[in-house]
Amino acid sequence: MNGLNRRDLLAGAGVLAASMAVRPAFGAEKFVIGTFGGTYEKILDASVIPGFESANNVQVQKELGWGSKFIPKIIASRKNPPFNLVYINEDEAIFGQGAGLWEDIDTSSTPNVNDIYNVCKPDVVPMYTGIIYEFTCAYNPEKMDAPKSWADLWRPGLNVGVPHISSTYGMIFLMIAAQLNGGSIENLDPGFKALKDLPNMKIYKGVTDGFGKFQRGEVDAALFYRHRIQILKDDGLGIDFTTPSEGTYGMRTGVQIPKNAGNVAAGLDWANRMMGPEYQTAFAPKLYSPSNKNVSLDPGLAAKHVYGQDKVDSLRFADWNILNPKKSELIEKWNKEFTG
Amino acid sequence: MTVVTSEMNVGERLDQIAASRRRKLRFLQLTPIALLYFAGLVLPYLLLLRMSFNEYDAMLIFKETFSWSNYSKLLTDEFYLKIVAETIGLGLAVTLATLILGYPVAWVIVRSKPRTKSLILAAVLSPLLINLVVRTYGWITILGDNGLLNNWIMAWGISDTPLPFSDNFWTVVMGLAHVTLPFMVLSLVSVMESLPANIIEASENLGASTWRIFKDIIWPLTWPGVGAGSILVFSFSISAFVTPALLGGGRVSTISTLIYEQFTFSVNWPLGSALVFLLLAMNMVVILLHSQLFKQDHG
Repeated sequence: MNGLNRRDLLAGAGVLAASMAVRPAFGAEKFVIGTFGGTYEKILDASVIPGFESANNVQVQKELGWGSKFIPKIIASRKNPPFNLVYINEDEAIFGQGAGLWEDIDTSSTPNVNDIYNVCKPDVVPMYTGIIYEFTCAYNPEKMDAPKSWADLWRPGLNVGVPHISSTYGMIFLMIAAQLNGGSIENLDPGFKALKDLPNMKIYKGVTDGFGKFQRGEVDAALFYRHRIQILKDDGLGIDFTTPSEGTYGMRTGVQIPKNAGNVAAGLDWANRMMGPEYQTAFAPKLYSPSNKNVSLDPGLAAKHVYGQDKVDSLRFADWNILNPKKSELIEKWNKEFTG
Repeated sequence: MTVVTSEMNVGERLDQIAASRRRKLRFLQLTPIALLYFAGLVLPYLLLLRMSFNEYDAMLIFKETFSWSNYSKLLTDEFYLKIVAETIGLGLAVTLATLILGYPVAWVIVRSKPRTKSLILAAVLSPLLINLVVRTYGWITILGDNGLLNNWIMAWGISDTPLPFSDNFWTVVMGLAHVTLPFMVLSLVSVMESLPANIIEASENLGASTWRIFKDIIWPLTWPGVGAGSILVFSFSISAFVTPALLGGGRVSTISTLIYEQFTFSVNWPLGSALVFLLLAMNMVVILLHSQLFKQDHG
């Protein structure tokens, strides 16, 4: 009895029917998103994609990476972009807006936009914002007292992590260094000079590199993602963070729909879900801080987040309309100063 | 006579038909790969070549024009010339390191019994079995300030502070040598295998010293293997991206890391494209030099 019997056939049909019930029909339109990997992807798979697929009769395909990887692909294929939707940071949203990469913002189909903090609204930053990050001042309490000012990072004997300029926070740290030394967002030269003056500068390239340097105890202090430091702290690593007197910068992250992407309606549905409390609550345990005012977190978890109107209002945001056009020139200067 | 001539004609015609069939077959056999190369390599290169003559614009990404400005910047700016020199230096250092490390290993492999030979070959090839990123992070955990090596050095009292093993040019050389060693060893093994054993015996019988046997017999005969291994290792090293980016700790720039930064972060595609052709030109020069230096003597 090697052939199929009726029971096998029925069982097979049952499995097929069950799979069709949870997945959209085979041959459903593809919906390609450029998104982040790791924990972020896992939560998308578990809590977002199944509901989105059945509501829009699409099959989601993910390309993992980050904005600086997605944007060149969109530019290279403007008439037929390879994504229906991409996750990007605020600087990339502003860059894409200037370069004409995005569909016009349409808030009429995204009612959740009314519940997000004002600094996250599309007229302030041209995208649908879902997460607020803070770049905190992280330090090793065994090596130093909590820095009162960012300038305390220049104390002798400290190993200071400096984010590479090719990241949003690398530009922000350079700007902080400039502002501390008589420069400004318009004049970043004092920032370069200040970074060169750091007694022991440890450049980190990207989150994973920086995270590793903290884990291995190679840096005593650095500007870093607050939620990442919180994770290390929760894991019992001797690390803490503080808000220096000059304040900390924030960064907004969200999605945009590339022009000519197709199925804009599904893109807008994704954007709306992402700005909604259900989506953001699913991400909260992993410390992605909500942009929606109505996300309610228990006090223990809320303390670990950029949470509440007052905290959000306390954050500073960089003016990317000024910084973006300088990127090419700044990276060249950076390479001249710090490499080779 | 007429019959013979017509027989010859038939024979020639048959040969001609066979030759033409062979040509057609060869053409057909080469077509898929030629199409793939054209669509996946030649066409993108042509597009990049055009892009390299455009001008960067912070808002529009690039302005369509025809200007040599990107190339003149690369060839006159001291910084870019320094990076070219460093990239070549990196390639040479890695090639030399793999040659010095690989030559004796290849020799031992060739002279070993089959079982030992497969064991050593497997050990040499093992770096290729581990994911490049994982292998690179392995080096970081060994060489970092709080890494294995520095912990030992400080525990033994050799130094009070961590020694700077990581984030520099030599770390990158070592990481790349680790990746490329198999290419060098395999190239050398293939040439050493074909060395006739009796040549060495004969020279030993005639009283030549070990050094003389190496210098006058083994080294010249293995020269083609050195050449093949060197070009593989050199070209791989000067075009490598992941190892310099991770092990250089943001302190080492090569043309490849600059290309990546120009295309992604700066979105300065014209300059990035010009850098692509600078790297291509460097590879071409190396291949030409190599063909001169390792010219096969067919005489």
